[in-house]
Amino acid sequence: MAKTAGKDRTIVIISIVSIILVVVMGITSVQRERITTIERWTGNVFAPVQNFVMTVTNTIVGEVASIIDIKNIKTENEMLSQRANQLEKEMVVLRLKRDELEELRGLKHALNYLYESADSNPIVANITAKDPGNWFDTFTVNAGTKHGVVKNSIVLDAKGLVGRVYETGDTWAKVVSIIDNNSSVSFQVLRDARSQGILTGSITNEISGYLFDPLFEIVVGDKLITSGLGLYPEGIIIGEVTEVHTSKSKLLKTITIEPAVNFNRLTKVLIVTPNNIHQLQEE
Amino acid sequence: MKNLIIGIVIVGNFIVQSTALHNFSFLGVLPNTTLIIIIAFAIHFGEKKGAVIGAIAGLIQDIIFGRAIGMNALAYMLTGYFTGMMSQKIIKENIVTPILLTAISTILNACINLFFIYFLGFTTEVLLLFRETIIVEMPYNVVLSIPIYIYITKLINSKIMKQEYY
Repeated sequence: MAKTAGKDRTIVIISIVSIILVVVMGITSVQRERITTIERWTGNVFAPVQNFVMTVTNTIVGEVASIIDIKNIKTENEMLSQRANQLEKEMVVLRLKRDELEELRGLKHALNYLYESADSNPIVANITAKDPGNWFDTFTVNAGTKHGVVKNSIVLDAKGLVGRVYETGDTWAKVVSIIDNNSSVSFQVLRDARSQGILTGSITNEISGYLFDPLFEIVVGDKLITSGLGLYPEGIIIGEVTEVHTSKSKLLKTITIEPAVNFNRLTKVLIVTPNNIHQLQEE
Repeated sequence: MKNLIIGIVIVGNFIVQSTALHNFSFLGVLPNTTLIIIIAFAIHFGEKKGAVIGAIAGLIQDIIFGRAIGMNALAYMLTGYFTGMMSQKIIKENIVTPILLTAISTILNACINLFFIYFLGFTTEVLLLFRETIIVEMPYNVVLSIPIYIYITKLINSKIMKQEYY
């Protein structure tokens, strides 16, 4: 008799806790302005430990990988020196362009044209931990409000766009990557800025999307950059088109792209905070 | 002492799972060691402790990574509770027990999670996610559950768990 009563009580407690958790879920499912003290402190405790373990792991994995890859190093070396030559040539051309750009920037300043897409001081951060689940692509970095990271800051890698800051703690921040199935990016094709579209992540860790103009001849290998519509500033490399699919019934041209960033090997990121002008526009 | 050890196992696993385990993904899918450990504890300690351990482990994961706090906590709590209930009717010494219960619990956990992922509007590809879970994650979890279950059984039967102080 007593045993059944105890069991009933457990079921009641489980039900009450479940209802509370569902309510909490509903409240927290939207992106919040500020996180609670409990969350902040849990993060503050876990972040340094995770950072340490992650650093150790990355070092070991890097060492092991380099031992396995020792055969490829020679070919890679040749490839890289070729690439260096090529890049040096490109640099000369780009230097000329830069001078031109600086002239134009000076002109812009003289004309009081107020638009700067992002401030020039990116914050460098290490990835401290990645979401262990298979359904979201979220990770944490070891920079937070103390370092000046704010909600919706843009996260980059040397190669391209990584994602955006979702929530921030004191010394840590939650980042949602662009391969997450809940994030979307507006893009434009690098060789023709007029052709734009929207990309969304998916569960299979590839990004797919569609073009606004289905008549535009997009080909495999086309490079895509951010278009400046929405959160991300213009001109950040997203990736390369790997597949083009035209569906006649929907009058849509869907594309699949390979991101420029290798998300599996990502250990360091750059965080760019939206500048004051951007915030003023929002208010 | 017992609770302290359980806490250390849960927190330690969470730290390893979120950092080092990413190098062991198979077909882009990671095993869910948290789930396996919750199941192992639930088999030994019954549904009440299973539910509490699940809720705490889920809350940690939710706070650090979650988009909606409570999703993992709820899923792990219910999984721990039901696993604990089911395990009462099965012999604990048999290695088939954790294998079977891990398989069932992986599906149960996925169902609860995907229900909320769908209704909170995170994604509409729920069926695809469910298929991926069954085809890849479930076998991976089952394979890993064997060593983890053996280790946790050893830990529970060891002297340190029976010390009274703390």
